[in-house]
Amino acid sequence: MNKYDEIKINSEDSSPPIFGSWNKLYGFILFSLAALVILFYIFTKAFE
Amino acid sequence: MSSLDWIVMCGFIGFVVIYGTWKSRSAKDVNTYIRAGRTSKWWLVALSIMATQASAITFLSTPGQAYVDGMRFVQFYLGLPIAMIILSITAVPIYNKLNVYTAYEYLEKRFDLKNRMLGSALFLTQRGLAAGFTIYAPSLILSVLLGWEMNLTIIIVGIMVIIYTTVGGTVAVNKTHFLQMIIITAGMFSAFFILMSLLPKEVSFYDAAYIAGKMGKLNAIDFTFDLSNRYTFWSGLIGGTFLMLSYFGTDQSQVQRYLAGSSIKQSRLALLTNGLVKVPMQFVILFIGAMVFVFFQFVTPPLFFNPVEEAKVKSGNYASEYQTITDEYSKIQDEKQNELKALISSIHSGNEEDINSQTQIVVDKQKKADELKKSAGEIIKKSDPDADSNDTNYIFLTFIINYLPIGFVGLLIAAILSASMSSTSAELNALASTTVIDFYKRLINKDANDKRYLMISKIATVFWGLYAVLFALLAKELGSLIEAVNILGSLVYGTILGIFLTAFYFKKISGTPTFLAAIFAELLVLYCYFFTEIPFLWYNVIGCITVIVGAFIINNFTKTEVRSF
Repeated sequence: MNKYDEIKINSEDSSPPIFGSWNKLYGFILFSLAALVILFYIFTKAFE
Repeated sequence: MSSLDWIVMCGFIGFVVIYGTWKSRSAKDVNTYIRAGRTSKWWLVALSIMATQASAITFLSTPGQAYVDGMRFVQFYLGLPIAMIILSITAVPIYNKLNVYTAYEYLEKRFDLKNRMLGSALFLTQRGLAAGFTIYAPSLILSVLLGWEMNLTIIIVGIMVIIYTTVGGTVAVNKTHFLQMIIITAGMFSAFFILMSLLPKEVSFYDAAYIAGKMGKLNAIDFTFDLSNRYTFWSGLIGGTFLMLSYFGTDQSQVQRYLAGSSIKQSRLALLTNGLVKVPMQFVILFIGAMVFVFFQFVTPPLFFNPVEEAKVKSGNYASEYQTITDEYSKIQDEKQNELKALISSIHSGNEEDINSQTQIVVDKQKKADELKKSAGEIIKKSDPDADSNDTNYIFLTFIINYLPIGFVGLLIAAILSASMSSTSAELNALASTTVIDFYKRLINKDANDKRYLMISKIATVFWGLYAVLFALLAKELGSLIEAVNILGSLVYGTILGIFLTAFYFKKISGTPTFLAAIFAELLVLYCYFFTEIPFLWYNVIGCITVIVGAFIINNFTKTEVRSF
């Protein structure tokens, strides 16, 4: 195992304070971005 | 400005400088000076990341951008959350575990010395010039609108930043960023609520949004794929992701912020917080600009917001031509205000037919006003070819100075100066770190003691501070160089990002192929800039992909040793 692989493993050892895992938190950020884009689009169309 | 405004402004700025200097005076080693001892919590790092990115020009020009061009600029930031996730997965754990002081240190560990030198040299060149511009731009605008002596403003702002950044390094930068973000946020929210209260009583929030929307100012999302259109959903999402990856992942002024996090978890949370907050924050700032536009539908604005350029044309050969347009503009604004009142009545009565016909009349009047404004810009340019015919940066400050109550003007000017100082301090801090770690310690004196490195770090901070101030003082004379500084970031960011992404993800590619591909990519980006019409956001994509693909191809033709890092 080289240092790069070691780092990848070590970085997973501490979970975030919300959502239980980093992947779920990343998913939440992406979901928020998608929600914002949809809201901005509705906003744009509503006042066009 | 009134005495109360001066007291408020000096009070806020003075407190930030004294607090930052006092709280960070104990930085006695290089680790504390450059990485705050790696003890910072996520919220402090997150605020510091946001304060670093938010320069004064962001707060001056973003509302103006919405006033002139609508809210579509918000799409520029759509790639930011994606970039924050990628960096949390990739860069944060690697930088953290390798215990680096600068991002470029990693390039030597992964590739070789020449890649590290290339990365750090590109950073010092680009960021060194940008640091001067960060001080110069707001000083110019404040001097034009408030009559402040520009050189004195540059020197005072520059010296204040140099003092606390030199004394406390990253600790001072982080602590002052916290206070500066509070001032900036308070200032922007105050401006918004006062702005809404200044609209005519019969104009509700919905009416204001309706007017802004019909005038094309609430165009937040545009899904058309058009390479010649600078801000679309696609350019923001694709080009923006590359730009933000490069800025947050390879620019030492940002990397240094999250290197100060006490653990991988704290650094990640800071980046992700930025990813969550930044887009809505920019939306709010742009919405304020759209509301300033609505405000100036009911109060006649100046034909041109830069009073210095306007005064010049009024005293020149084109004075009568300019006066004719000014009179016509005032007439159109008066007519439009009457039609707007009728439109508001129609909206309140709910008569669809009236609303539509009245809306069309107002939109037509606005088009005419826009044409007159464009003609005014052309006359200014004809009168003086060196004149700045773009007044976008002056719109928001004109509103602040002329229409905000006493006390709040001081708060908003403090917010603008805070933004200028927060970006500059992070830049000086990063420039000094790169100079000491990547050049002095690596090439000149490898075995000095910690005290010596600390002293050299402080000297480097003062050097880069004076360099930035000197550049800002000379910027007026350098003229076209300012424009070059603005786009310099996009000219080099793609290449730097390509080097880093190759290092992170392509473990079989070695240093020399990456270095050669980076040189080729940089030449290609320069070709695109000089000989094509491709918008600048795409340079990041072109530079980055060229490095990765080029390195991959060259690597297949050469047999070189590959390191784990």
